Amino acid sequence: MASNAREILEQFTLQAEGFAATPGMRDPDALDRMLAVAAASAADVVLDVACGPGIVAAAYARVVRQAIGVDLTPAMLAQAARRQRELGLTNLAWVQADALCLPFADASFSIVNSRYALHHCPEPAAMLREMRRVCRPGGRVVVTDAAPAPEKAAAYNRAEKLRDPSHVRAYSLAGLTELFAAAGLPAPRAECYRMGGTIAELLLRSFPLPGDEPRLRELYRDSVPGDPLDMALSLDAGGAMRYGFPVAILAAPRPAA
Amino acid sequence: MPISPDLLEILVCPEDKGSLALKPDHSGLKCQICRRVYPIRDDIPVMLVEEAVIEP
Repeated sequence: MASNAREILEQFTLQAEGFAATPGMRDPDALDRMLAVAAASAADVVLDVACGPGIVAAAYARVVRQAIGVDLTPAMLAQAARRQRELGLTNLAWVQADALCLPFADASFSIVNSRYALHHCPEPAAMLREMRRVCRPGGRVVVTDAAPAPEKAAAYNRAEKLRDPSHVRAYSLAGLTELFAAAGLPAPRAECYRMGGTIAELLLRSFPLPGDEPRLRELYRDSVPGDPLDMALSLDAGGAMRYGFPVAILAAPRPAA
Repeated sequence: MPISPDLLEILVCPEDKGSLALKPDHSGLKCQICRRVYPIRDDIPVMLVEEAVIEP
């Protein structure tokens, strides 16, 4: 199990309520882009790794034959099961498991997906290798995650670690492409966009360590000019601070060998 | 919702990738190689080695 499994479990049990309610997580346009990059169709059997409250797996389930979500945190899976009941989706199932040790036979899925999870994993190449293992030859490994500009990545990671102690490291697009190569996957196709919202709403569902929130607010305030965090921080007409996380969707076919 | 046959078909033991058998009372999934039993809680299989119990 990942060395930060305890932090993951603690953070995501706290985050389970608010996470699914976040507009950026439910944004239908972002989900549609992911489905398009994944080339999801009615023939596909999909695994969503670190599925959280099941938003992504449920989006796949509307399109594909069958979708399965795995997550380490029972509170997230309880949310996912509730979402499934509300949506009345029957081609969807949940499994509690570790992303580094998936309980599936080799080549079980035609799409293996993960969204906003790789940056929580201390061994991202190992996670991608495990995703590759359970993906069929000719299937797709699809990763959506924050992808800060290379020269801003260190500052981005410091800020995100302050906001979310379970944050490990976000990679630039080039870094993510290297991770795909390290996992035996070809260079992925990539699409980039910004996931936006207000800082007030973001902090409502964040659980920084005691005393860190004022530091974080100060950092955000100081980071509007020049955008050193690559979070596209700005003040809107009403004076509310807005962010736009730099996000990339990457997809690579799983080679036959 | 009880565990679907489609899911049972692709689930394996995370430790040794052995095939699993659903216990007659549907309380868990037993690996046919290492005899670990993975509990099923609220219809969700808990496929974590540290949560499994080795049964005879």
